[in-house]
Amino acid sequence: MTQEAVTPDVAPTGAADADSRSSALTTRWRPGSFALRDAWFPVLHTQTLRRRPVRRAIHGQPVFVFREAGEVVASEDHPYDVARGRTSFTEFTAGTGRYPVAERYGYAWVWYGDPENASPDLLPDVPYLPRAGGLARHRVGSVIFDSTYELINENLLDLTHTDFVHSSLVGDSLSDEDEISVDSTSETVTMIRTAKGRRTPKTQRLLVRSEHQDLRAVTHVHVRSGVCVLHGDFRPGLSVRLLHPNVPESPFRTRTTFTMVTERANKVLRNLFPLVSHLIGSQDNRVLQPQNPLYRGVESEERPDMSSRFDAAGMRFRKVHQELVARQQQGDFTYLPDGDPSRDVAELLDVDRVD
Amino acid sequence: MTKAARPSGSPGREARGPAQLYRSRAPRDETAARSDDSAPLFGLPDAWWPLALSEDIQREPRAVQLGRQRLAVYRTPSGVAHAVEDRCAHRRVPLSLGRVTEDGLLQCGYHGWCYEGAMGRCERIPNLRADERPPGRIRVRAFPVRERDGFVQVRVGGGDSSDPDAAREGDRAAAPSALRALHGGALVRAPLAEVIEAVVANIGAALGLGWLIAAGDEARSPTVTVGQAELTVVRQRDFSGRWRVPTFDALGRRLRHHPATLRTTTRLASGMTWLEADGPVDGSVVRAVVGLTPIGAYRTAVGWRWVLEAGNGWALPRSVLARVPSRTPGHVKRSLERAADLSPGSADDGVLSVRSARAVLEPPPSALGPVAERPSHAGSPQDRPRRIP
Repeated sequence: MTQEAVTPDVAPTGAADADSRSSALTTRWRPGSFALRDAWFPVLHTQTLRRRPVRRAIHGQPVFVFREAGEVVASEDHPYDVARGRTSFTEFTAGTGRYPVAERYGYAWVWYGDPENASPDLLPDVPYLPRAGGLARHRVGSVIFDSTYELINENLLDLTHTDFVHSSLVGDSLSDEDEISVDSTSETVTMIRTAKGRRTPKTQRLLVRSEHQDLRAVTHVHVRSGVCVLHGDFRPGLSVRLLHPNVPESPFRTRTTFTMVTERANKVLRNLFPLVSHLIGSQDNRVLQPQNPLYRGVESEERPDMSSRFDAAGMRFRKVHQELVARQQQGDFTYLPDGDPSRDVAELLDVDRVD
Repeated sequence: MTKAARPSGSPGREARGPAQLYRSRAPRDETAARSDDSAPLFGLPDAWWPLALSEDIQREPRAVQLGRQRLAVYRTPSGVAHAVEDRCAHRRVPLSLGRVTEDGLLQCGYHGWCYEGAMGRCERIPNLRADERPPGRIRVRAFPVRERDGFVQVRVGGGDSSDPDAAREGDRAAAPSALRALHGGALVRAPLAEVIEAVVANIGAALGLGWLIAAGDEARSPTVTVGQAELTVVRQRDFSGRWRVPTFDALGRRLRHHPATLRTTTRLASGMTWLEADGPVDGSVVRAVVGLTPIGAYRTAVGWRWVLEAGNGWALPRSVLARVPSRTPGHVKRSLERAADLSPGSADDGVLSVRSARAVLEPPPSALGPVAERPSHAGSPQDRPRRIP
């Protein structure tokens, strides 16, 4: 007796409700069409700031980051233009031209939304990075994806894609057991994947003698900001702790200002893994780039996306995202009690806190 | 090459018993998927449309656009060609970015969902347990495919017992054998209708093969026969160049006294054209077939193959033919575009006939333009921030 491998993600309250809600997630899902606001976005690694201001963007809103008297500041316009009176200050800075800025984990975090609501207590918790930053230069970088950030968040919540898109680095799909569990709050979605008996991929054979290894992979996504906190734990093997913030610059471009640290790796892999970020990124970009327009109404007919049980996390993401959109469309930008971004997630990720 | 089965619906066959039974199963060179309502997807009239030269379809899936529809076209390890929509049912990623598995399934390059090419069913989702199977409703659109005349062809619209292609069964001998033919392809920036007219008007000039297929002045005006599904033009042309100094005779005229007779048969819906003509050497015969694939409204992919058969028991050595570059896409692209540009102004009998015969086809060529309707967005766009002066 075979069982169907589809996980219905919507609790049926009534047939019509369930249909219209699920259709909103499978057929009428339109990533890149609504900019969720009131969140911190890590736009820049502060160690890369030199004398010149750096231009970034959040949901199409320009952000110029620079140092002023030793402090990192973020402005709506280039300081050169501001000095000449050419300004376009908006409600995102309450007319002052300066965004709220916070420094943590080596990043300049910029608040996108109502400046009144900005608070450092709403910065996401990343337990494996030191709050003061100061990581080695080769551990950080910036990868640009030609896609809206929701599709990248989905990409990280269904890590089965790594078996195909990144097979040379993280291995193929053959394993004895492969289980996914999904959890969520009003602001976050967490995916935990446990696979046993996976074939050790080539790159890890440098470190691991064993032909097989177990994997516990956790992806914890902050839906508003696109900040993804990941931990890939290969045993025997290395532990990869990746901060993968997907900063939405436009509906067609996302900047991932990543930081990667490893444990139980030898020197070669420790230095190798951050370098492959652009290789991995380009493998993902190859599928993300053609995928993006097809979610923007380019198709002439609407057909639902089909799912398997491995899509439970991705579908939950769509649901949480749509609920946030619905609340924000009504003017409610608050964080609900269960959705505190600064909640300690060390246990969830199964890592020891750095500080 | 797959051996083509005789379509049982060909006219003239009286026996209905076994042939009728056979028709309800897929003939050997056609896949079982039937998609009678597929024409609106393509924006093209019902016909067998060439997608690519057989040599160009290998195991690596290829993205081919026909009309408005994007297809992923590939060949299984056993050599059977398939065409499915270029869109995974899972998360919409083009299947042409994937690969073909050992057991002949098309695997998406994103999450590895595997589809069979005949009905488009998802047969395998990786990481599922041995007792789990993908639900039967997960599928992509699959289209009937056959290989004929050296092209991988796809059926748009329903099958038809009076399929004119069946009538070509007898003419199969006229189509160049793929083994002996030289072939080539080009991507042309001209609408399908203009390329068809260019081929009908002067196929030798259009393909840049004036040395092989007479492309010079007409010695005798064309005779046009219009059928229900195809049009035949018989002409006579000199082997002189198209170009001549005004008021003078063309240069080549003295060298060869007898103009070459050319007979082209053009399928009205798809523009696919078969040629039989006198070759450059007395007693030789040229046979060619040209397949046209419209990509959107303004581009056409052209594929051709030709073979030169020498008469009088004398054969052109293969070594000579092999020296002719079989693929010169740059120069052929230019000659095709030049010929297509001239088509609208052409008053040639053959061109006028094909134009009026094609005018009654459904859907009209304008159907290939951009899609007019857009679905409504679920989320409203972010309001533009007010500028504070």
